[in-house]
Amino acid sequence: MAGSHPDFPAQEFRAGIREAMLMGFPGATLQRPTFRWVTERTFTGAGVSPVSGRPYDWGKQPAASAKVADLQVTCVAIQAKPSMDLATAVGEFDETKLTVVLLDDEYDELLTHGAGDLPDVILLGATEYTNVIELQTMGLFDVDVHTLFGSAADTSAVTT
Amino acid sequence: MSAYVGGVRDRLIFDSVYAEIRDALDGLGWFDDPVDSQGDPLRRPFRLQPEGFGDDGPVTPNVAGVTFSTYDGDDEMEMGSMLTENRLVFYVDVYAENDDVGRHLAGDLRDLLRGRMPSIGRGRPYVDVLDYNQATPTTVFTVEIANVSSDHPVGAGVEHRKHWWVLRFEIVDTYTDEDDE
Repeated sequence: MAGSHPDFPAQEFRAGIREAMLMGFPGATLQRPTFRWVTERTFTGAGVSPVSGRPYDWGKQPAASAKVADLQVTCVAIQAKPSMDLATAVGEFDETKLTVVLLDDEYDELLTHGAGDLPDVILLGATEYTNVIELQTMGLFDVDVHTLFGSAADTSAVTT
Repeated sequence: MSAYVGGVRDRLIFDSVYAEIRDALDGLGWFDDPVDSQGDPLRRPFRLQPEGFGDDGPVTPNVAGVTFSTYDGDDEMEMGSMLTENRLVFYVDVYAENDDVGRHLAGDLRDLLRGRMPSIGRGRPYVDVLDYNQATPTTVFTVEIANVSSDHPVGAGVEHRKHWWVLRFEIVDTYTDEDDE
């Protein structure tokens, strides 16, 4: 492992960081970050776009569906409104951003749960964050710290 | 007053155009919520709203907002009278969950406005304007839909701007004054 040091107590370090994260965890489960994967559906037969694989009739039943359950792991979530100007030709969009920091064990748990894919959506309370990307991974000897970043698609309660 | 002028006319036109769009999309099944065998939605529910999207409000796909933005009159139609042809510019902003839904919805909106869908009662590019002041609204005059155009501005970054379509159309309204019969 790059940067290993025999005197660095990786597991104790992780445990200490998790304790600090849990201190800041909201009491209500709904207010904690929830990681969600979009259901992968496969459509076959007539009436399916050869380009996107989606049906022309939105009521067509899929031949197969791979649904992944939502997951919550220990992490730190920071919400922020951007300070930069997001003016466009048709108006100004003020989108809330979300930064989620998690340790390597929890990151691996996410990847395993998602069959190798990072979550598509991060829910925080009633707000959905999409366009989830991973920023630079930071390392401290044997411990890696991962950062995920998302943009709000909806700032109201999800009614679906 | 035997004819409709001023703000009431504009509001009746907007309300009637909005209702026409809403009813046509309903006829096309956009307000259905198809689910798979496990009861999970096959696409996100669609909503239509009679207003645009603010800079800090929610934009949850799939959603479309109808707005009337510009009054672009008047072209005099004949000498010696007040008859003018007036154009009201409408926009429909569509925010979809993916390109297929956006393209499908924008295409449906384009052709229902252009009167290409007689099967759902949209077989002509006109809208009958109803008087909603009446207990049972009846048609009081008719306006034409013209110059329907569609654009797909691709915005970088966030999901709801990736699948954003804008439709623009004009309502052509011809009338004289309050005494118009």
